[in-house]
Amino acid sequence: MLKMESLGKVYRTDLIETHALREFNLEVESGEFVAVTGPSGSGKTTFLNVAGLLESFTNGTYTLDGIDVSGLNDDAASEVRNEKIGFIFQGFNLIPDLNLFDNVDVPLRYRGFNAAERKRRIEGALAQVGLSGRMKHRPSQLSGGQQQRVAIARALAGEPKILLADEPTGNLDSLMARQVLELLETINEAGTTIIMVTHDSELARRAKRNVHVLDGRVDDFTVYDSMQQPVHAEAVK
Amino acid sequence: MLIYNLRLAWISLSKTPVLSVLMISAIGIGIGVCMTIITVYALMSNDPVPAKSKSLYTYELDNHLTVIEGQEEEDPSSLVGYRDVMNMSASTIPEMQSIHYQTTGIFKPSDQTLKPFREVVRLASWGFFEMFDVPFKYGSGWDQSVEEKQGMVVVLGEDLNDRLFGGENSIGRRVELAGRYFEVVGVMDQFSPIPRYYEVDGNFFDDTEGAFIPFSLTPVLELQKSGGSTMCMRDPESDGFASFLESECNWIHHWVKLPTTEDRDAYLDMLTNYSIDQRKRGRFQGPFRNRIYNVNEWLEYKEIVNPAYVMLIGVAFMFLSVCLLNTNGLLFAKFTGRAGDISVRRALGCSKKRMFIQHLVEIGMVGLLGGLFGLLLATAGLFWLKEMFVNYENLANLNVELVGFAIGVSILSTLIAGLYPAWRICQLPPAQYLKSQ
Repeated sequence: MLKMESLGKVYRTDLIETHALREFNLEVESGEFVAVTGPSGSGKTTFLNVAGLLESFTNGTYTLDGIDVSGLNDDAASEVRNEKIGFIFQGFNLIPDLNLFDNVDVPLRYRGFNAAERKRRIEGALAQVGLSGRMKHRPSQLSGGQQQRVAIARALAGEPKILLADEPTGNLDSLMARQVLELLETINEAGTTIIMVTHDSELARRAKRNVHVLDGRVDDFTVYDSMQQPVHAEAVK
Repeated sequence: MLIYNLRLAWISLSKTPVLSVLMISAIGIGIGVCMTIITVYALMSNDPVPAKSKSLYTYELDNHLTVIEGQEEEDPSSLVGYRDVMNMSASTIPEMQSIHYQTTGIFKPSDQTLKPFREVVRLASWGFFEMFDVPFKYGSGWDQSVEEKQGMVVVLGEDLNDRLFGGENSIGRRVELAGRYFEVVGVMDQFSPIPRYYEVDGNFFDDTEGAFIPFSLTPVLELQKSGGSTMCMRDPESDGFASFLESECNWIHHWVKLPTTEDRDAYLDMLTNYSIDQRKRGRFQGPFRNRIYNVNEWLEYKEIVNPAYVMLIGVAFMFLSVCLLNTNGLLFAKFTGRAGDISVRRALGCSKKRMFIQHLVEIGMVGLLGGLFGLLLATAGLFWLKEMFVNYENLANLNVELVGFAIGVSILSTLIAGLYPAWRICQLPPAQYLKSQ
C-alpha cells in the first residue's frame, strides 16, 4: 500500500539545513494498522505530511497504492489525495461555517460525484460514526469527540485506501479517546489501512504494528499480536 | 461546481460582514464615480444618428463683407442668412435638405379651462422629418407642395399633444399658435437625439421642440429666432422683419444630405462658387474658407465633449484604482484569515487551481455586488447632476449598455485587483496550517 525507500526531507533556510527525514524506509501493507511513535521533533508529523502528499520530499522514492508519487504535479497529487487518502487531524479541522453534512461533503465535491451519490455516502459515513441525526448541526454545537467522529466520517466518505491520523485522540479526554480508537479499529477491521501518528505509547500498543521514529529515521519496528503483547519485528520474521 | 463555489463565496462574505461591506463599498464608490462621469461622457460623445452621420452635412459659409489687411479673419459662420439659405436651397446636389430655426409661440388650447402657454417651436423645411429620422405616432410631416403653398400645418411633439389633446390622435384637429390656426398633420413619437445635433448654435442637450411648422411661413409669421445666436455682418437697413430677412444677418441652420464623397466635394465647390459669385455682386470678400462637416465632424469641431471632461474620466479611473488597491489589501486580509480552512480543503483533495477558481468566484461576487452598489451611487450622482444643472436633464440617464458596462468593469477590475491575493493564498503550504489549527 505504502512504500518509502531512502526517503529524505530537508528544510532549508539561508542559514540552516534541517534534515527532518533521512534514509526513511517504511513499507505498510494493505489492511495494516500502524502506529508511528517518537518524541517531539523526531519527524513523525513530517512523515505523515509527506505520506499524505501535503509536502514534497527531497530525495528517495515513495509509492502509494502502486503509484510513484514523486513526479506528480499539484493536480495529480490532489487527485491522489482525494481518492486514496483520508485525513484525521488532532484539531479535527472541520470547517466551522459548514454544517456536518457539508463538512463531509467537501472531499466528495472535489471527487465530482453527483448529488445523489454524495448524499448516499455522507449519510452512510455519518451513520457509521453515529451522528446521522446531527447532519444540520454546526461543528461548534458538538463535543470534541463528536467533532473527531465527524472528521472520521469525512475521511471515510470517500472510501479511501489509507487513513492518516495525526494524534487523533490528542485533544480528547480518555473516554472520548477510547471511543475514537475503537472506531478506528472497526474501520481497520473493515479493510482500511490506517497509519496513526501518536506519542502516546498506550495508544500505540492498540495498533497492530508500531514504528518508532527517531531523528528522522525509522528506529524500531514492533509488531503486536492479537493479545496486544509487544513482540520485536525481527522475532516475527 | 460553480454553484458550489457561489455558495461558498456567499458564506464567506456573510461570515465577515464588516470586511465585505468595506470591500463592496470601496468598489461601489469607485464604480459609482466612474459611471456618473462615463454616462455623461457616453451620451455627450454619442453618435446621434449612426445610420446617417456620414451623409448629413452642415457647412460654414465664409461671408465676410470686409477684409482687413494683416488682421486674422474670424472663423466663417455656421449660420446662414435668409437670402443665402434660399439661394443654397436651390442647389440640386443634395439628395435632401433641411432649413430650420427655433422660435417660441403662444399656444391657446381649445379647452377654455386651460391657460395659454408659451412653447418652443421650430420652423423647418419639409425635408427635416425624413432627413433626421423623426418617428411619428400619428400622421407624418408635410410635403413639398404644402411647403410651397405656405400651408398652415403643424407637427406636434408627443408631450405637447398630450397637453393639448390628452394624447389622442389629433390629426386633422386645429391648434391656435401665435394667433393663427394650424391643422395638425403629425404627432411625433419620442424624438430626442442626444446630442441634438441638428441645432448648430443652441444648446446641444436641450429637449426637442414642442411643435414644428413649415419654414416657408417665416416671412408670413415674422417669428423671431430664439435660443441661439444671430450674427449680423452689417446692421439691417430698417427695423422691419422684411428688412431683417434681406440683411447680412446669419441665423438659420442648414443641413444637406450628401450620400457620396463626390456629392460632398461638389457641394463644397458650389459653396466656393457661390462665394465668388457673391463677391462679384459686392458682398462676400473672402478669403472663402468654406468648410463642410458631417455629423460627427461637426460635433467634434464644436467640442461637444469638452477636453477637460476627458481628463475627468482619467481622474475617475485613477480614483477607481485607489479603491481597488484598498480592496486588494482587504482581500489579502480576508484570505489570510482563513488559511486554515484553505489548508483543510487542500488536504481533502482540492487542487491549487480549484482553490484559485473558488477565490476568483468570491472576488467576482464582491465585484458584482460592488458594481450594483456603484450603480446605485451613479444613479444618485446623475440625479444630483440633473438637479444641479438644467442642461444635464437629457444626459444623465443610465441605459442597458451602461449598466452592463458598469457591472462588467466592476467584476473585471475586482478580479484584477484580487488576482494576486487569490494566487498567493493558494500557494500556502497546507501542512503548516493544519497542525496549527
